[in-house]
Amino acid sequence: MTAVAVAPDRAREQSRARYPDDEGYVERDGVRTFYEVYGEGEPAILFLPTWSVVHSRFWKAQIAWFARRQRVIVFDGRGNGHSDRPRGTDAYRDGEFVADALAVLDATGTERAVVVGLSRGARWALRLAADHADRVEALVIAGPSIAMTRTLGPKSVAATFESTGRTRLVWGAAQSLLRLALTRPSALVSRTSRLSSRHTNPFEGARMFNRRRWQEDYRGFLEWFFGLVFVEPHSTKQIEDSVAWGLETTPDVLADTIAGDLFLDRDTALDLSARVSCPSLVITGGDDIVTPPEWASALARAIGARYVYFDGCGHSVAARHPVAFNLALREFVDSSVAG
Amino acid sequence: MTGDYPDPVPDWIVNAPPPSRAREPDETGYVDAGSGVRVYYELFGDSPDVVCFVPPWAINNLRTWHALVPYLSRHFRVIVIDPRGNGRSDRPPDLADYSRDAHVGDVLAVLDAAGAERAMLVSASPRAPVALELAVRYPERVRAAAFITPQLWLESSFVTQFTAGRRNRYDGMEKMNPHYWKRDYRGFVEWFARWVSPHPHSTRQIEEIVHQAMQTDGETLIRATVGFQMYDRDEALRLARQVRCPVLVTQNGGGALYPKHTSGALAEATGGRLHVFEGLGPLVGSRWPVPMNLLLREFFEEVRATDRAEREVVA
Repeated sequence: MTAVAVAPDRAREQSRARYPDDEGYVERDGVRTFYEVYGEGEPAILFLPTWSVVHSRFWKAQIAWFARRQRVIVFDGRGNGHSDRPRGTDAYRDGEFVADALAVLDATGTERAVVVGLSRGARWALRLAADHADRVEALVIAGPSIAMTRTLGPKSVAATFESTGRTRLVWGAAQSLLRLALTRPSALVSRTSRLSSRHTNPFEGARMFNRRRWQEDYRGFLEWFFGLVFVEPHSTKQIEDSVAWGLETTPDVLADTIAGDLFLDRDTALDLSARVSCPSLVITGGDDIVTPPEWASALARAIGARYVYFDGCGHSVAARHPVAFNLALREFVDSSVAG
Repeated sequence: MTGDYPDPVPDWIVNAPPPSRAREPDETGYVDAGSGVRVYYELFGDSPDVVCFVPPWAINNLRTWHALVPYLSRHFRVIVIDPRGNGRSDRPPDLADYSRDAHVGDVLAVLDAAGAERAMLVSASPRAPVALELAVRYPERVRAAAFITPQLWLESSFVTQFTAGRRNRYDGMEKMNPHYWKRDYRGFVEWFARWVSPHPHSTRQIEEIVHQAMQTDGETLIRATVGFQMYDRDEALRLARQVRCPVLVTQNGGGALYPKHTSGALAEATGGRLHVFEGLGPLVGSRWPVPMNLLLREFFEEVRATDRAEREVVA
């Protein structure tokens, strides 16, 4: 395993609304994970990584606002940001991210925190709440990449991801149609008149989730993917930011992160959900076509969580509609966690 | 990836009702300054200190101020006015109804209707002459004047394009031409919105400009442009030197569409303060409303504090 150390270089990044009060690295099995701490006050909030295609700046619209009242902890998920980029799919299993999160809580002297997980981070948040209940004050999940309704199984996803040449095109076309039929055709149709769809063809799904494609045109994949994440009009800034963060890692590293599985399966999720005992909130965007609202609502039922549905929003309510997201999150924390 | 807006703005956006607002007006109404032309205005807030936005060029309507009104109306009473030719104001057919004097009369009529004896004025770009005229001719009604990227006289680059004859095709600045406005007003509007919004991530601003512009038509915009007499340079500066109220002039720090020398010359002639938005512009008030709001509030707070101090001295 090769670990690449990257030193924080703030001169090259955008200016921030607020800078961290503390920062550092935790190291597990030779892999360094970079974290930041902002503000003070209880309960602390831990914003988990979402997927190594971006890093902790993805939470920039949450950090400064929550840090006015309470301690905010973020870390760069392995594979991007200032954290190392280990190679191999085993380095990116759910268990590694969960262990990194626990190591960050330990390093920052945080006994318990409100844990917020978006997209792939939802899986790690769910595992933390189920398996490490003593560390989780409350659970917040947004846009979970947890396949609660029928979708492509891990085998077919893996086959598509590794397919090449003509096979790749056949697989791609077949799977795009299948996924379309299985998830939300209405959302796909409604957004064809929208602005960002000019850059993004949602029918290209399976063709884009392909190792060869990433190696040929990584930026093209990023622009397509974030066009899908940010379906709302006027999302050019969020897309531009996210693509730039995506370019801080490499297609090979990113491939390692998804070769294991694209979505957490339903049975595992139900088992984990049954063991969640803390106050819980699940947030979804009504136009989320990366992780459909049906997944979020089913997960909320399984956990017994409060469920908040943002009409007209895509996969990342947090980044695209930070005021609405922040108010909902704060209201949940205030009402469910005794200060 | 840039903020370039796919061309053109879809009809369902252009034809949609105006978007919802952060703050609804507390009072709305119409005035008729005497010529039978109805002009629409809105009032926000209840402070004794009044900030009045003079009507913008008729390619816009009062919604052009939407990022400034909710903030400023927490601190001042704010008046916004639809220009003759757009929004809910009339679109009179006569050129004379779009004169500078007619606009001055509209502002005075709205101030009367609002019961505002005096106001602090904000004007933008080619409607700066309205505020200048008010400040000089009605100093008792004007407490202060903020000029956002003012234009007071016609620039030769504009005149050249505007008076050029008919062409078969119009490219870039050539679209600043009444023949083109008559032939393809929508085409002009789509170009104009992008021309004044060159910065990435301006897609929303582009939609808003097109939306407002399509509330009127080419013929009306020609009348509103030709009928409004700009000053010549000497006359503008002569008037500016007569201004006695506090003045703030802003200048774009970014790619300036409007000549920088107008801002500087106006600030110098009025003895006012020149503020350059380093790295920002054009359209600071809609693309970067926070710095514009902070600047305007600071300026008007100074005026309020000065007036209060003077009252105390007199008392």
